[in-house]
Order: sequence, then structure tokens, then C-alpha cells
Amino acid sequence: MFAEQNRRRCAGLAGLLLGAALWVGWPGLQRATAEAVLEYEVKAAFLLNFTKFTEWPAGAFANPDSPLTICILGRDPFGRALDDVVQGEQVNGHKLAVRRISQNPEPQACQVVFIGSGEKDIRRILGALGRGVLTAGEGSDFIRDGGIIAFVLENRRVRFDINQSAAEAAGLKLSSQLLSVARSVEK
Amino acid sequence: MRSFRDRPIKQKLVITTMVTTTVALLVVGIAVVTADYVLYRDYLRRDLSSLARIIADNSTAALAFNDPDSAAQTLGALRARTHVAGACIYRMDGTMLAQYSPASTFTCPPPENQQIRSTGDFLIIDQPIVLSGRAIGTLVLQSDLALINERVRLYGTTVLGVLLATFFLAFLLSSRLRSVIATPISRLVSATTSVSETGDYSIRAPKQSGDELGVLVDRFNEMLAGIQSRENDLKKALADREAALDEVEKERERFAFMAESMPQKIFTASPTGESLYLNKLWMDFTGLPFEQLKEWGWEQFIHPDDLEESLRVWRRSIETGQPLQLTNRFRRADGVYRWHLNRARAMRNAEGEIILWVGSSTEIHEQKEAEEELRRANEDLQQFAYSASHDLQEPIRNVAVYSEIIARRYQDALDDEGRQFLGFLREGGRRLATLVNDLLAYTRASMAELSATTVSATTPLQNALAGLAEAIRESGAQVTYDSLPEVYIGEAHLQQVFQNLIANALKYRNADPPRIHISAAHRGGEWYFAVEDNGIGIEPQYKEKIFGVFKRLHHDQKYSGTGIGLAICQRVVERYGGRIWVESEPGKGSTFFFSVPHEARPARSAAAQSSPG
Repeated sequence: MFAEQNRRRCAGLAGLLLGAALWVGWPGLQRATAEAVLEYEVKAAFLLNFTKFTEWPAGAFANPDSPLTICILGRDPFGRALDDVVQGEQVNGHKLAVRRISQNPEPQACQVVFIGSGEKDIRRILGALGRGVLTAGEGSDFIRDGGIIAFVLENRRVRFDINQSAAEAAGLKLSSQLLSVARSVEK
Repeated sequence: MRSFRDRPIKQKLVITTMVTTTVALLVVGIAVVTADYVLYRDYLRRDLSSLARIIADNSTAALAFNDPDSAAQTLGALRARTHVAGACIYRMDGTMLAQYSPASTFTCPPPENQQIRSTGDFLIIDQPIVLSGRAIGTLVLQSDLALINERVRLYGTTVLGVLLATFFLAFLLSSRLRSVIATPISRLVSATTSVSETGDYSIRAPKQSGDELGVLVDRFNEMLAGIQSRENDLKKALADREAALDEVEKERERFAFMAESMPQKIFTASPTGESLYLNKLWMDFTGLPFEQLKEWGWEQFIHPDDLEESLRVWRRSIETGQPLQLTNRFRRADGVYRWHLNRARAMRNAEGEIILWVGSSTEIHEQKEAEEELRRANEDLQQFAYSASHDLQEPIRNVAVYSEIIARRYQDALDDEGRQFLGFLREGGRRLATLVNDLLAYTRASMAELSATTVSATTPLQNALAGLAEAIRESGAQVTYDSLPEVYIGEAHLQQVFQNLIANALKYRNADPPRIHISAAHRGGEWYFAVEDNGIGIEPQYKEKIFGVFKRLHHDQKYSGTGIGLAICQRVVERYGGRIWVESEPGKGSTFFFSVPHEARPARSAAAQSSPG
């Protein structure tokens, strides 16, 4: 009888959390036709989660109540996914915001900068970014270019590599838990 | 089944010790095991909760980034905790991210929003995995309670072992206790048993300790000592009593012998008059056995003529307690009646109640007969004296008459000598006549029938004084008298007594005119009369003698008389049961006293012979 009840309650819970499940990533859906769309939904969620395992240095924000802004440089592969994910979220007292930019931002405007794979001369872009910015890109080359976190696909699963020395250089402190779930960590 | 109450103290001690120990150990054991179970479960819960929190914290990233490997790795840290049966991480949608199962049979329970729950042998914790204040999944941790049960089993076994060991130790200890407590009690019991069986109070119980048992033994021994000394006292008292009884018995035998050896017949009687004891002389005399004589059996050998009077006198003594004195006749074994004098006195206790009559009966037959003979002789003598004096009157009168005639007619015919002789003859005749008259009066006083009436003593006194008027006038005497009482006596007899006493007073006078006083006083149921004079008095040695017949103290002419007057007085007074005596101081006067019983009783009648004196 308890088992019956539990099952019903589980089913109810599953229905309620249907929306949430989309951004957390569902392996079953990843194999669906809209694989690409789903991939960026997962990456959007990851982007949000990165902010939760990262400590920014003092001075990374203009004001204590300034929003934590995730900036997408160049072409935007997320569509509405990122905006949906950050909706209503807060990290360490900062509201989250999404901006789309076409050139290097001014200091304290962006705390996270996602650089799409379409950008050229990533090394130059990264070099131009100041301290206190968490950079995220695609492909293992991104790490080589001096990026901090790079999304990689492994067995059709979204994973990421971390360049810890770059993070340290940027004055960012990444949680050891984040490091432990990374596919590889450059030191 | 024997009730516990009746078991020997040895067994009680063992049973009590064992039961107490067992119960105490059981209670302590259960308390310890229960407390440990509760504490350990509590500890387990807290341990599990903190473990769950740590694991949940460490799995946040793995869950956040959907990394089952990392999550499994985190869960793998639980391997060190043997009591963790398994764990798994669920995503928010209820799907499982990772699972840790040391045993292949483990299936992870689905998450429920409960902090902690128990199902059967398992304790399950649902720990939410939180990221930035938002739950992103659940860690479910399942702990195997078998460990607790194992622990409880271990404890239980230990307690049981301790219990058995203690049980054995308690048994050994109680054996020791037995020697400390039960053995002294057993010895005390055996001491009391041997005391009560042998009655030997010199037995003492051995004292082995200074505790209450020691005190009990001491007290017991003290009690025994007390009993022993009291028993000795009792034995001594009994021996004393025995000796005293022995002495009493000897005394009784002496008295019995005394009573048996008496020449008199001895008897004792109850306060109501039944004979209790009769000495052997009674049986010898009557020839009857004691059984026939005891109580009122003696009535059968009393002379029928004496029986009524004897019973009356005896009953009166029983009623009044006055001493018994009784003469009567008892029939001897040969049928002959013999006179006896019976006397008895009442023995009284401290309260004055009569408890016994003690008496004797003396055979007085010979005395009685001698007395009777004497009385008859006396009577004969009196009869003779009376007859003689009566018969003598006639010839004496003739002598007197004819000597007078001779003196008148033939005085001149006689010479001087003849006249002198005639004078002697006349004088002798006169004296003879007086003598015979007095003798006659005396014998009359002895023989005349008593005819008592109640009479005022004044009348015979006045008659006596009238008879003596001439002598009183001649002597110039002064006679006075008080008012006199009424007495029960023959009037003529009383007059005779007064006349003789007053005549004496007139006669034995000195130079002064006589003064005579007659008085009376009542004392002790009798009237006492006194005739007092101021005459010559009487020497003390003659006080008794003067009452004898023909006894005269003075033979000279001055005091003429026959010496018979006081004898007559005594005769009369005694016949009425009174007595007469004189008190005198020579030269100053005499007082004659005589008593008249208030109700004069006949003193020498025939009935008086068989009546108590």
C-alpha cells in the first residue's frame, strides 16, 4: 500500500518537475531528433550551475547588488534556453541576467562570457578580457587558447574541461566539487 | 510443594539471595541493554544523518552536472561504513543518478520527503541535495539495523553470562551466609530443643557473633540462667515445703496420738455440729464403728431421757458459739448407761468465724453416783434433824413449862441450892428450845419447797424490821434503807435473810448505837443487796467460817445466839442460785452482801442434775 502511494507521489512529482527536467538534461531526450536543441539546453543549465560553484574576486561586480550577468559573445546558440534557465535564479545575492554582446565587454559588465565556436581569434578575445570573468567556450581547443571552461561532448553527453591556471589567473576560485566532475582539469 | 514459609532458614537464605541477585541483575541487564539500544540507535541516527549531509553536500556538483560516475565515486566513500546497507542519489524527477550497493541484493528505496524512517530491519534517511538554496535531488541512505540487533544480542549474551556467573557466585556466597546466619540459628534451635526435651536448664547455646543473633543467644542464655535459678529456688522451696509438710504430718501424728491416748473421749465437730473426728475410746466404749458414730451418729447411744436436752444444749452452743457443758448418759457396748461430762469449745479463725468445735467427754459415773449418794445421805440427815428437832419440841416444852411451874409454885420449898439448880434447869430449857427452834428453821430453809414470785424487796424488809422492832428500840439503833427492787424469790425466805442479817448487826455492836443501812445494786444480771453496820466487825480469817452451822465467834453472854442464823441465810441464798459473803474491817463495821439472780433459778432441783452447770 505504501509502495502504491509512493509510486503515485513519484508520478505527481515527475509531472511537476517536467519543465525542470528539460534544462537538467535527460539522456533519453538527448537521443531524440532535437538533439542539438537539447544539447544547448543542457549547456545553458551548466552555465548557470558554473556560477554556483565559482567565487568571484572582489571588484568583479560594480555594486554588491549588481546582477551576475552571463554574456554571449557573437552568435547565440541557446535561443531562449539560457534566458529560461536563469529566470528567477539568484547566486550569492546576485540576480542573474543574460546579455548578448558582439565585442569585448567593458570591465564589471559581464561575470561570465560564453564564446561560441563561430568566433575567430579566441586567443585575442580572451586576452582582452580582464580579471574576474569566467570564460566558457566549446571544444578542447578553447582550453588551449586560454579559456577557463570548455564544453566537450563525450558519448553524446555534455561534459566540460577546466583550465584551473586560467581560472586562477582570472582571480576566480572554482569549487573542488566542480573540479571533481570536470572531464579533465588543466593545471 | 512445601510453602516457602516452612522451609528451613538455610534454604530461605539461599533462595532469597538467589532471587534477589537474579532479579537485580535482570533489571540492571534489561536496563543496560535497553539504554544501550536506545542510545546506540540514537547515535546511529545522528551518525547516519551527518553522514547523509556530508554525502549530499559532496554530491551536489555531480548531480548538478549530471555526472553519475562522480556521484558513484562520492557514494563509494560509504564503503567504510559497514552498517550502511546502500545509498542512491535521485534527481528531482525521481530518476536515479547513482547508486551504492555493497550487496547485490540491495534495491534502493524510492525517495520520500521524510527526514528519517524505519522499515523493518532498515533505517532510511532522505537527505535533500541543495544547490544555492534550491533542492536539486535527494540522497537516500539505508542503514542496516541488524547491527543494533547484533549488539543487543551481544549485550544480552553478556548479561546472561554475567547472570549465570553471579548466580553461581551468589550460591557460593549464600553457602557462606548460611554458615554465618543459619548455622548459629540451627545451634540455637538444637540448644532449645535439647533444653525442652531434657529439661536441663544448665545447657547454654554457643555464641558465635556479636550481631543480633549473638544478642539473641545471650538473651536466651540469660533466660535459661533465670529459669535455672528459679527452678533451683523452686526446688528448694519445694524441699522446704516438703520438710514443713513432713513436720506438720509429724505434728499431726503427735496430736493424733495424743488424742488417741487420752483417757477422755475426744471429738471434733464442724461449725454446723457434725462430728468429724472421734478418738478410739468412743468406738471402744460404744462398740460401734466410726462410720456409725460420725456426724450425728452419736444420738443413738444417748439415753432417751437425755437426748432432747442434749440436742437443745448442743444446738444452742452451735448458734451462740458459747462453750458447751453438758452431762448426760451414754450407752456402753454392754448396754449399760454411764454418766458423762461433755465440754466443747469453738475454734475460730482470724475473722472470728467458728471453724471447728473441739471437745471431750469424761466418764463421771462414779463421781455422779458418789455425789448422789452424798446428796441422799444429806437429805436423810436433814430429814433426821428435822424430825429430831420437831419431835424434840414437845419434851423440851414440857421441860420448860414444868420447870416454870416448879419455879412459881415450889420456889419457897427449895433451899438456895435447889433454887440455883432450878435456875440452871430453866436456863438450859430455854436454850434448848431456842436451839431446837433454830435447827428447825434451818432444816426448813433447806427442805421447804421453793415458791418464788416476783416481789418487791421492800415488803419482806419491812416485815423483818417489824419482827425486830423490840430489839431495835432497845439498842437505840438507826435503820435506814434505799428504795429496793422487785426480785423473783420466795417472800418469806427473803424476809428470813433480812431478819437474820439485821439481827446480827444489832447484836454485834460496840458502844455506839448501831447504824444499819440496807441498799441494792444491779450488776451482771443479778441484784446485789448490802446490809451495812457500824458494829465490831469480823477478823478476815473468820469470813468463811461464820456461815457454818453452829459456828459462833463469841461465846460470852454479851453475844447470845445459836450460831445458825448465817447458815440459814447462806442456805436460802444458795438455793436461789445466789451467793453470800461479808466484807469487814474489825472495829469499824461489817457489810453483808448477797445476790439474787435476776430471774432466780432453782439450784438443786432434780432437773438441774442433768443440766449444764
